[in-house]
Parts: sequence; C-alpha cells; structure tokens
Amino acid sequence: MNDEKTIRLDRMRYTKNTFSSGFALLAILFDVLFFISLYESDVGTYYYNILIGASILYNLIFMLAAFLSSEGVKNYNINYSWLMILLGVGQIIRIFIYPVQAHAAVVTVREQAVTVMTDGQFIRVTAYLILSAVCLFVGAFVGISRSRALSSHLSSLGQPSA
Amino acid sequence: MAQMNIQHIDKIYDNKVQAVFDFNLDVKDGELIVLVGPSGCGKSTTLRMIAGLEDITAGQLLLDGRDITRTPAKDRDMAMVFQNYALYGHMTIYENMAFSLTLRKENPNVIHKKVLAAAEILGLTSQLNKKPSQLSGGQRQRVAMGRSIVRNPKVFLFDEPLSNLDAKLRGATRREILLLHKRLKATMLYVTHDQTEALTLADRIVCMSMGHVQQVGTPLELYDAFLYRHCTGGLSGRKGLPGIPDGGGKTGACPLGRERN
Repeated sequence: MNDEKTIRLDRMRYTKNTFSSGFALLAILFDVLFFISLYESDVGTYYYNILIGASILYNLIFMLAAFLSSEGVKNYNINYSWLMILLGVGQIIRIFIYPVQAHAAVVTVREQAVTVMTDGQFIRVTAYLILSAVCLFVGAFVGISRSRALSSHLSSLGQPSA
Repeated sequence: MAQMNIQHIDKIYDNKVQAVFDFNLDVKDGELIVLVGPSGCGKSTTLRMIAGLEDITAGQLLLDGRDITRTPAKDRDMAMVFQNYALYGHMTIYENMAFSLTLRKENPNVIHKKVLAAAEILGLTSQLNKKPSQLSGGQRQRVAMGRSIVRNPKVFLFDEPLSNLDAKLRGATRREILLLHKRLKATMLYVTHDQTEALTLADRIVCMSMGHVQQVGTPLELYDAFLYRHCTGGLSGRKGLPGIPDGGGKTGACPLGRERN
C-alpha cells in the first residue's frame, strides 16, 4: 500500500469524519442564533399564534436531527448525509416563513404602524438560516463523497461497506 | 544503534531517603537487560530515572555517547510500557497507537503505515477500531507495546508489564515480548520481581536489593554462581523448593542453582 491516495482511503477505516460532523454542529449553532434573534423585537402580538409553537417544536426536532446527523456522518453513514441535505432544504424554506413574512408585515403598536422585522434584523436572521443551510450542504456533500470512497475501498478489500 | 552507559547514578529524594545507590551498568546495543529484585529494591526508580520521569541526583546517563542526564523525558528517544497500560480510554486503539506521532505532527499517511505495521506485528489489526475497555488485559498490554513500537525509539523500557495479567496470559505475553525483541533487535530494559520472567527473557540480569546492585550476569551465570543471599533470595522461593536457610552462610540451596558448600 504505497499509493498516497490508497493510504488516505485506508485511513478512513480507522479515523472519523470530523469535517462533516463539525459542519453539522456549526449548523446547529447558526440555527440557535437565528431562533434567539427572531423574537428580539417587541412588535405587539404578531408572533403570538400557533406558529410560535410549531416553530419551537421544529427547532427542537431540527437540533436533534442535526446532532444525530453529526454523529452519523462521523462514522461515514451515508444516510445521515442525506438527512443533512433535507435539513438544509428545510432551513432555506424557513426563510420564506418567518423572516420574509415578518419583514413585510406591519402591525399597530400604540396607534403607530410598525414593521414587524426591521431591515437589519431581516438580513441577520436570513443570514443565519443561509449559513446553517450552507454548513449542512457542505457537510453532507463531503460526507457522501467520503462514504462512497470508503465503501468502494472496502469493497476492493473484500470487506463489508461502511 | 542504542548503547547505554549508566554511570554511578544515585537517587536521593527530598526527604533524604536514598532509593538507589551507585547504579552502574553498560548496556550493549540490542541487549535485553532485566532488573529483578523484591518490592522496594529500587528497580522501578532506576527505570524511571533512565526514562526521565525521575531526576538523577548524581551520576551520568549516556545514550550512544550523548549525555542525556538532564534531557527531558520526551527528548530521550525512549518508549515506556507501564504496568497499568496507561491507555486513553476515550480513544480507539488506532488513535492510542497513533497519538505520540500525532503530537509530533507527523504526516497522517506515515502515521497510518507505522500503526498498521505495529498492529500486524502484535496481531491487533482487527482490534484497531475498538476502545481499550473492549479488550482483554493481554490485548491492552499489546496495545501499550504497539504504542511504543510506532515511535521506533532507541530504547524500550518495560515496568513490570505482566504484573496485572493472569498466569496463562503472562506466559503468552512473555513469549511475545521475546519474539518482539528478536524481531526488532532493540535495546530493552525490563523491570520485574518475577524470577521466571528474568531468567526467560534476559540477556543479562541485574539483581537488586535495597537500592544496591547485588549481582549482574547472564541467567546461566546467576543460575550457576549465586553470590549474594539477597540475590538468590529474590530468585528463590518457588513452590516446593528450598530457599536459602536463615543465617545465610556459604551453604545453601537455590532452586535455580546447584547446592554449594
């Protein structure tokens, strides 16, 4: 086993995919930043509907799924890479639920019309969601690439795939 | 090449207790030296001084002519195998064996080749993804040896590595150490209180008692011509066989030697 590429592939049998795992955890961090930034402005009762409950629930599920994915991709499990892509798509869709709608919405507070989400806040929360999605996509694509490479290498050695 | 000269080293602790008195030994390249003696005789202290884990109070330690008396342990190019394995429980076997090289920032591909080579020598290839808690005592000790081998040190130091193993495993691991020595042709210093290990493994035995070197010789020399009561007392006492009678004297029977008048 002298070929550098073969050695690099063989190393994956004994080392973890900390690159993809780290990106999944980073995605959770950006999601948390999004969530705590979303409700920082006092805008009457705009957010006080059933969506806030759904939002909280989705965040919990997202964090759990992303954390499980970070552990799964660490062991080159390709299924968790696909889950990360799904979660990333979910983060993109979320941009059009709260940030976009809240940015366009106007409420009356003390007889004054107020935009629910200012431009600055809108840019910030959108950026957090985009960053979270990008981290998930990067981690997922690297995870898929490495999982396939490792499976192929194990097959060439006559061993079961990862 | 790893020739070691241990010149008149003493160990005196801060509380003025002297643990080692004038230890003097020349170790040839590729030799397996066993330090044997009862508990508290200073053999482990001597080994730790050689490793750099204890300061040498007086004397000199030379490795291939270079004075390493005051050299830090990490720079002495020696590897030590401990009685309690000293493995990292949260790391896999692969990571444990690669750890010292990773700290040295070696090329990951080079590390991989060295770890696999050491694992193959010790029969650990199939265990590399496991954690230490999933292995038996003998396997853990082999991992500890593998961790030393990957560093390719000049000198291997063993501090009672088989003490924690059961009798059957001790025999098997002892054979492996002997095979390892023959294969690597490395200079090794081995500390034990077990006479079987001493007689089986050693090119030369250093018999110690109460901090002093009592006798140095090949296993056969010690077997044939025991000189000191303490030395033979340490090497005797096997079940069913007489030891040296109280009062010492010139007459006695050592289970590992002939009767002498």
